[in-house]
Amino acid sequence: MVIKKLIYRKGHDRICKSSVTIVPEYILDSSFLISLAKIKLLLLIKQLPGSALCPEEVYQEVVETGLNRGYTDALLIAKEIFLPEPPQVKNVIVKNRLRTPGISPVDDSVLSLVAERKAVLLADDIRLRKKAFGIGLETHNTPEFLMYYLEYEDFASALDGLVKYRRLDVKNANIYLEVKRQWKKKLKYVKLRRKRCKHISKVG
Amino acid sequence: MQAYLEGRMTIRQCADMLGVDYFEMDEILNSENVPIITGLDPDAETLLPRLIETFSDKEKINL
Repeated sequence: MVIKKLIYRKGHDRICKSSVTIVPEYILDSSFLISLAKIKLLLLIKQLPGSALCPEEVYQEVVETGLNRGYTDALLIAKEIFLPEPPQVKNVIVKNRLRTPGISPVDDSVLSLVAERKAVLLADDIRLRKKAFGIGLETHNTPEFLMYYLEYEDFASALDGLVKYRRLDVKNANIYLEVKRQWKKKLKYVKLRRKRCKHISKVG
Repeated sequence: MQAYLEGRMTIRQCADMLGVDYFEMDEILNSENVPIITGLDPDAETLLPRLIETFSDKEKINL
C-alpha cells in the first residue's frame, strides 16, 4: 500500500491542511485472471482504484508458458493485460519470501507480495485464499470483485458465464446472486430514505 | 481433484504433482467438473463493507 502525503494550501491565507491518501494495491493470481478471461471481462481490472501487480513468476506462468503452449486464455490475458503500454498489471520481483508451508513456491511468491505491499489478493484458488485468510491478508475472488463493479443484471450474466465454463457451480452462483440482490435492495432503501429526508427538510 | 476442492492443495501443487503446467491443470479440473471457485466465505456477513473498503476509490483521511 503506497501512502502519499499531500499538503493543501488554501488561497493565500497560509493555512495548511495535510491529508493522507491511501492508494490500495492489488495482487492478481493466475486463477483470477483466467476466470476473467473466460467470461471476457478482463478490462474490468481497469476499474481498480489502485495499481494491479503480480509476481514475476505469475507473469511467466500465464504469459510466457501460456503463450508458448498456445492457450487461448493466455493470449487474451497477454493482449488485454500485459502487452498494452502501460500494462494493466505490472509484474514485479518479490524481495522477501514468507516461505509459507504447504503451498508451492509460486503460491508463496503471490502471498509474499501481498504481505510485502500490504495489498489485497485477488484469487480464486481455494487453498491459496485459505492460506491468505490464515495469515490475515485481505482477499477477494472473482464473484466478489464482479459483485462490486457490475450492476445486478450484468452480474447475473457474468455468473452465468462462470457456471457455463464450470468455474462455479449453480448453487454457489445463486448464493452470490442473492447477496447482490439484497445489496441492491438495501441501496434502494437507503436512497429512498435520503430522498424522503430531503423532502421533509424542504417542507419543514 | 478432491484435494483441491477440500482446500488441501493449490492448483499449482496439483499441477506440480501431475507434471503439467498451470493452464493444463486448470483444464483438467474443468474436465473433471471441479469448480475452481467456492461459495461465500464464513465471514460473509462482513462481505459488503469489506468490498466497499477494498474497491471504493481512494480513501482520504483528513488530519
